[in-house]
Order: sequence, then C-alpha cells, then structure tokens
Amino acid sequence: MNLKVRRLRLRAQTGQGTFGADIPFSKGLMVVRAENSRGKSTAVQSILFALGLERMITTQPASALTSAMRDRLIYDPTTKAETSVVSSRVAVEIEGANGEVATVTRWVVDDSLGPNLVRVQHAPIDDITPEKPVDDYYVGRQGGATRERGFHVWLAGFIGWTMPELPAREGRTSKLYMEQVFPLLFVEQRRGWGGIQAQMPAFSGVTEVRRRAIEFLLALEVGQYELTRQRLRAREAELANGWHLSVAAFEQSLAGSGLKSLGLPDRLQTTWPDESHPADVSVSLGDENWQPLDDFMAAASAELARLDTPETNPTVDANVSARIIETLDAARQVRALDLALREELLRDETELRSIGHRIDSLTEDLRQHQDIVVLQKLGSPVAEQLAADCPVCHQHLPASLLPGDVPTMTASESVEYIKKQIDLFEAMRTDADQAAIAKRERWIALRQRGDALNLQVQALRDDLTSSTGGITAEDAALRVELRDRLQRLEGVVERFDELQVQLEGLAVESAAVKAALRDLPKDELSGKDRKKLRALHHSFVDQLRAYDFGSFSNDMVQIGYDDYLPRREDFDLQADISASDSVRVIWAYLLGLLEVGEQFDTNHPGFVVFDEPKQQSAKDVSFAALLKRASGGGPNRQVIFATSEPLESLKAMLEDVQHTLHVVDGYLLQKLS
Amino acid sequence: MSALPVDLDDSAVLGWLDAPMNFTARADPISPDFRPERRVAVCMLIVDKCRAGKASWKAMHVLSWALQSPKRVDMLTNLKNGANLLDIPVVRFEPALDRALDLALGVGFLTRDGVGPFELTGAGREALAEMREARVLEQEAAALAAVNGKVSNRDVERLLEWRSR
Repeated sequence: MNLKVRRLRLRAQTGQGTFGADIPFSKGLMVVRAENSRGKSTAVQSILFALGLERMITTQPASALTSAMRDRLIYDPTTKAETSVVSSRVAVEIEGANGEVATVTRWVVDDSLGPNLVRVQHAPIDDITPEKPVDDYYVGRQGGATRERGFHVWLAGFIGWTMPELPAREGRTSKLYMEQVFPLLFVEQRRGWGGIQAQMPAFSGVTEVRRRAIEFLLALEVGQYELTRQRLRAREAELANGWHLSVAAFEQSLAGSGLKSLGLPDRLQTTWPDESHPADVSVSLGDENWQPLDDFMAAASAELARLDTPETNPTVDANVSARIIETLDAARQVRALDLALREELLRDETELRSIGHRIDSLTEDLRQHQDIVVLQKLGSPVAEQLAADCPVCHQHLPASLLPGDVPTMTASESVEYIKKQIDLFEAMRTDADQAAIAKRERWIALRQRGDALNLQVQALRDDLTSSTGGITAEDAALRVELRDRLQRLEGVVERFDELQVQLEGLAVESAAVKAALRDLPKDELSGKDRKKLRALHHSFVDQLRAYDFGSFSNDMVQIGYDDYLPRREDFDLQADISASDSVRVIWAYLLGLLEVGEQFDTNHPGFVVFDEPKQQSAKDVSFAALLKRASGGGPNRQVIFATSEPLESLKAMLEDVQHTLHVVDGYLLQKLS
Repeated sequence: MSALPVDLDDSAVLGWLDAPMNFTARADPISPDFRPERRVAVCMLIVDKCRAGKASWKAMHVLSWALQSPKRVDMLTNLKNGANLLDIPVVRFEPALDRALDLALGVGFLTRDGVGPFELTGAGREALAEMREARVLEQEAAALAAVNGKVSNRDVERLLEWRSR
C-alpha cells in the first residue's frame, strides 16, 4: 500500500498567455507555504481534484477548484487585473505500490476534454512526450469506482488497495468508495477540521460507513468477519434453493405414475442420507396399500422370470373360462374402488379449497388486527381517547361496537389467537395436500391395474378360442406389460439414485457452511485487531500529551472498541472540547493511524495531507509540536502541510525538524515565459 | 378408536360423570369490524375522501360497505369512470358503523351540524395524519385512492339506486 505525491503541475491558458505552477513534493514532512487567498488552497485542492476525490468536499465538481483555475485569474498582482481562463488542467505525478510512477492529468476547463476524463500516463511528468501511450479513465460518474474504465478502480489498484464490498441499506451491498477512506488521509481547510471524518460523503448507502472506513484503513479482521458472514449466508441460500429445486423436480417427475416419494425433505438438510428416516419411493397397489419400490421391482422381476421359463409353466389351464370369470371379478372390484376413490378425491379437493378460503380470510383479519394494534400504540389521540371514558357521560367506553357489554379479547390477544389459528389451518392444509397427492397416485395406479386386467381378459378369451401349444396369450400379454413397467421403474430408480448423490453433496456443503458460520467470531476484534487499536491509543495519547491538549487529563482518553474513535468514558471526545483541542485531536488521530500503519500490516498508504485550519480555531495551537511529530517515523511517509504562517515564525518552528519547505512567492499561478 | 383404557360398567361411568362442572367465561374474539379503533379510523379516511371533506350519513354507510370486499372496491373504482355497474349492489346499513360514528363525534374527531354531513375536526385531521404516517390501513387507503377525485353525493346515489345511463 503506497501513495506519494511527487509533483504537482497546474496550467491555465488565458488571454494574457499561459500561467502555471510547479511544486515538487518530497517524502517526509513537506511544508507548502503560501499567503491565504494567493493559492494555498488551490494547490491542496488540486491534488484532490486530480485524484478525482472532489466529491469529498463538494457535491458540485465544477466548484471543486478556486476560480483562478476555472474562471478568471489575476495576472497583475499590483493592479489585481483579471483575465478569463480559456483552458486549464491539473497534473500530478504520484508513486504507488512497488514504487510504480504515473502522471495523472485532469482538465478543469477545456473545449474538447470534459472534467470527467482522467488521463493516466505511466511515466514521470517530465518524461512525458506526445509519443507516450495514454490511458483514459472516467471519474465522478456511474461506475467510476466499479467498472474497468473507472478511474478509481485503476487508482485503487495503483495504491495496492482492494476496495471491500460492504453491506448497504435495503439488503444491498456496495463498494467502499475512495472518497470515504480519504477523510482519514486528507483534511481540507474549510470543513475538514470539524471533527474526525468530518467530510464523509454517504452516497453509497453503506451502513456504518465511518467505522467501515477505519476498519479498511487499519485492515481490521473484524470487518472481514462481517463480509465473510454475508458471503456464507448467500451461499447457504443458494444451497437451500438448489435442494428445493432438485426435490421438487424429482417429485414432479413422479406425478401421474402411481408412485410417491417418502422422506424427501423440502428443506436443506445438513446430514444426508438420514438414517432414521430413509428416503424411499413407494408404488401404489391401487388399494390402501403401498409397497416400497425395490420390493415391488423384485417381485415383478421374479414374476417375469417365471413367465420367461416355459417349462416351469403349469400345463395350460384347462379351466380358462373359470379364470376369465375370476379376472372379470377382479376388474369389477377395481372399478368399484376407482369410483369410491374418485369421490374421496373430490371431497379432499373441496376440503382443500375451503381451508384455503379460511386461511385467506384469517390472513385478512390478522392484517386488520395488526393495524389496530399499531393504532393503539400510536400514543395518538385516537387510542388515548378511545381507551378513556366517555367525555359526556363518563361511562367507560365499550371495547367493541357490538350491542351489550360482551367481554372481548384485546387486539394483541386477537393477533396471537388468529396467528395460532392460521398455524393450525396451514398444518391442516399441508396434511390435506399430502393426502390428496397420495390418493391421486393411488387412483392412477388403480386405472393402470384396471387396464391390465382388461387386457388379461382379452388374452384369456384368445386362449379360449385358439389353444396354442406354447405360451398362452395371457402370459404373453402379462410379459409385455411387466417388461414395460419394469423399464419405466428402472428409470425412476436411476433418477432417485442421482438425486441421492446430489442431495448428499448439498448436505455436506451445507454442513460445512453452517460450521463456518458457527466458527465465525461474533463480530469480535481479533488479537491482531486489539494490538493495532492499542497501538493507536498509545500513539494518540502520546501525541495529545506532546501537543498540550488542555480540555482534560489525557489518561481518561480511550479508543472505542466499537467505532474506533477517541472517547472519554463513553462520551464522544469531540463533543465538548475547545476548537483548538479539536485540531489537536484530529491531527493526533490521523497521524496515529499513519503510525499504526508503519508498525503493522494495514491498508494505510503512508500519506496524509493537512490544509492548515483557519486562524481562529488554531490560534492557540503551537504547530511546532505537531510538525515535529509529523516529521518523525519511518522513511516511507509523506505528511503534506499547507500553511500561510508568516515565514519567520514558520522557519523558527521548523528549525530542528526534518522537513522540505516550498515557499510560494506571491500568487501561485505565475505567468510562464 | 382404541379400546378404553379402563373397563367400566355403566353405573360406574354415571357416578364418575356426576361431578360439579365449572365454566370460566373467556373473552370473545371479535371481528376487526367491531373494533372501535379501526372503525373510527376508517370513518375518518372516508370523510377525507368525500367532496369538500363532507360526508353525508348515507355516504358513510355506502362507502364503508364498499370497502368490505375487493369486488366492491372495484365497483367503487368504476363509479367515476361512468362504466355501468354490472350488478345491482345491495347496500346494507349496519348499526356498528353508527356506533363508530357516535364515538368519533364524541371524542371529537368528527363534527356534525344536526343531521348534516360529517366533517373532520382539527384533532381528527391530526389523528389522520398520524395514521398515514404509521402506515396502517394501507389497503383501505389504497382502495379509496383508486377512486378518481373525490366522492360526491351523486356517486353515492348511483350506488344506491342503480340505473344504467
């Protein structure tokens, strides 16, 4: 993770020629001095503008920069004469992860290039020639932080960041935007000193975005847990859906074949197969009896084998006519059963419909009662008045509009009562549904049996008229029917076995997901997180001491473990301190984050910018201590401080502090020869 | 039925049944239509929907009746667009609504000049705003909102004395 500014170049074409500025930046403490209203803020804001981060300080990108770059600039310091800006651009040379260098250019005003365009060239600013390849990206538009050509996607990669996908409102997720991280790295003069993360744009709907930004910058694992939890939940929902679809498809395929599955749960299971309730397919025998598919197939195969070996056949039954009568009898019985079953089916379906109506009207009643409960809780005059006594005769008002004084349930009791009824009827509906499905399959099986018996009678009649020597027509017909049936059932067995394998796979994965969810720490800081926060606390308090923090004793200050912000005994530290102490707190906190980044593995790019606060809030702050602290630390930090402090006192402040000073003499934008 | 757990002869059974019985009165569940809170609130919605914020006693009954089933709500919606009513509605007047109206008058949400139309009072308007805020009775409000503009006395008469135009 790294971001450093190496050069800033401003250019403005005007009617009076080209104006511009070039500021070289070095690592460590970098102080830029310019008079107020002579371009100090222009310089600082140009960095933000070039990086496409202006939405952090304004909702109108057009006004992100001072008018000198946008509109009119003073070309003559003595007369303050102005000239119009025809075209202007900001270029910044930055260093990213692995020391990679790039120059980023953005046009403020131009006839052909809009402010949404950001041009990236992979070379230092001075080595750029017209032949250098350019990459154009866009910023400040839909997709600027998510799509491949979005500038912030490129910039995140350049810094070495992977922006996390975070839970947002209404169950959506949204990326953490750069503009939401930079308030921890960049304090702008006008509004940035209002508090830590004073300029937090909340446009993505990410919940608790302040906390998430700090979690990201310090790479706290606790934020990862939340994301992992969301991912696991989504996966679980997918598995449940897959399970439901597989089971439903299988049951659909059984419909109308006289078969019924047992013990196939509709809901995702974690153990499968379930030893205590093995799943199975049963065959309806047409009457009340169902036979497991395997048994049925074994019996059918045995029967087929018997028919296939003619020598075991008993000699042709001489008494064919008796058999015909038997078979006809059987067929008659089947028909009678069939009729009875159809009537039962009709009854069941009527029953189902009436349960459905019942549930519908109960649901409507429930809605109305829930409304009443809300009305009563409104604390509004409605409920108040109706619960009181009659304003005229002072009798207690009735609880219902029925004549007579009937004791009635309260609205919330009614809600509970209706919910119970709905549960009961839902359970009845499920049972009735199951029963109806089973009956329908039985009925189909009966029809098939009836058809088979009819064929048998036909075949027996053939046997009666033409006695063949070999196989009887009856047996032949039976064999054809049995083979056909066995073949169909084998298909079912195959599908059932496939389903078992599928469900087993789903169950194994679901168990793994559930275990992973259980093992996730409950939104708790990991050991590493605690170490980082302790280091932040340490650095923060240490700095307050060095900066003469006066509002109260430093020992009372802690870093909250829920929002990671400084607090004093559960009170927000920033609520009741003086303006100058507020400056100290923000400075100490942002530098604290930077220092933690130097000791631990975090996402901090080692880069902080402070645009000096307005005089009144900083009048008691001695910046010497602040600057001293900023110049310390590791070799790979860059703290940029823009100030309009008088040069004498600034030099005195910086006397024994490692720093680089760039003094802007007069106006920032100077006429270039 | 399984066999009885204990074998008893008739006299034993009779002796066993000869015990005092206690009945405890339990509160009755009643239909939400008889809850004063709901009915008063619906009354206010209806008055608010009527022309000039005034609803005659007849209009109260007709519209309250119309809100009771989706089919009637359709009829109400067609009222304005001049479509012929397909079947002759039989509007029923219910005493419970009269009690609700009395309550609403008594607690000061509605006012009425003698036997004139009902109107919302300031308190009534506040209560109504609060209800809308709390998003209750959304279906009823939606059904009323589906009727274009305000309901006038003529519309009410059309529902009562149906004739094709």
